[in-house]
Amino acid sequence: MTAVSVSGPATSRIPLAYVVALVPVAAALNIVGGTINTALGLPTFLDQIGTAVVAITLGPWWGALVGVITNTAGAFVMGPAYVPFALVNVAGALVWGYGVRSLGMGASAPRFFLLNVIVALVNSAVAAPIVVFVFGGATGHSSDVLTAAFAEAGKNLLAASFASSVIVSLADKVITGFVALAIIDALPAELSRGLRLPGPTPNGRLAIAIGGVVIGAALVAVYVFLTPPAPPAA
Amino acid sequence: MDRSVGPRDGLGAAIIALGILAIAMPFAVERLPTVTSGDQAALVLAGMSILLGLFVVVAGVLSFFIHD
Repeated sequence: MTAVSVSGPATSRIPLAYVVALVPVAAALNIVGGTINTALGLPTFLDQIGTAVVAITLGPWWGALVGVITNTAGAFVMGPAYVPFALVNVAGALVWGYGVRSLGMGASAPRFFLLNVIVALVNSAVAAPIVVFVFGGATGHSSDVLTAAFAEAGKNLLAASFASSVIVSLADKVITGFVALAIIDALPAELSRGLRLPGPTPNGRLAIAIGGVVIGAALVAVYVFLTPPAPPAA
Repeated sequence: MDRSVGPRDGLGAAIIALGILAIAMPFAVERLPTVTSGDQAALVLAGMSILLGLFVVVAGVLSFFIHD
């Protein structure tokens, strides 16, 4: 009796119904995540969870579509300042999508963790020029305190913005990536068939996702304890 | 009817979305509280256009290599 492989190669064509169902829901998830994050004043963003889910399951450019929809539609909720950051969302989608689907960066938990770190670096590289040239270095996010501290330490504004963005994004993207992994675990198996994702079994994958989120939350806690408190508003 | 879509369709949808973003950008920049004068808005728009253009170029180049 020969062993039969049940998971074939990643199929390139997907039912249109999945796209029609997943893309708007993912954009809505991003907007809800971003709104909750803003309301709680957390030093994260949490507005790319849907982007990561779609980029990994459907493909990087479907994820990019989610990113653009998130930031243009989200502008009605979060204000016009949200629109320029669509490019950050697009960059995240491309790195997650190509990373898992083409480069096999989701094959194990450490590689997936590394992929999330790369997403944080790429996102920061795209976000820093937007923060500096469009918003003059401050967007009202809690990372502005860190940017000001780096700028005071002698770094130029672009470098200070990039450095603070990397620190904040690192925790954010680790949480986002592993929450996305948990969501993918709950989606129909057909969507992740052929993809190399961490976890030998569905339960193992969920455990890895929870572990990743805990590491991300710990990074947020470290950030909160190490950053100086924001000066009181005049 | 059981239609399916592939990477090419995804790329096409994303390029259209980036185009819509390019159209939406001037309206968004005009309303930014940090932008106070028309000259500054033009500067911000120019910067954003360059960044957006990079993504559209990447999308265009990838359209030659992507297969269903």
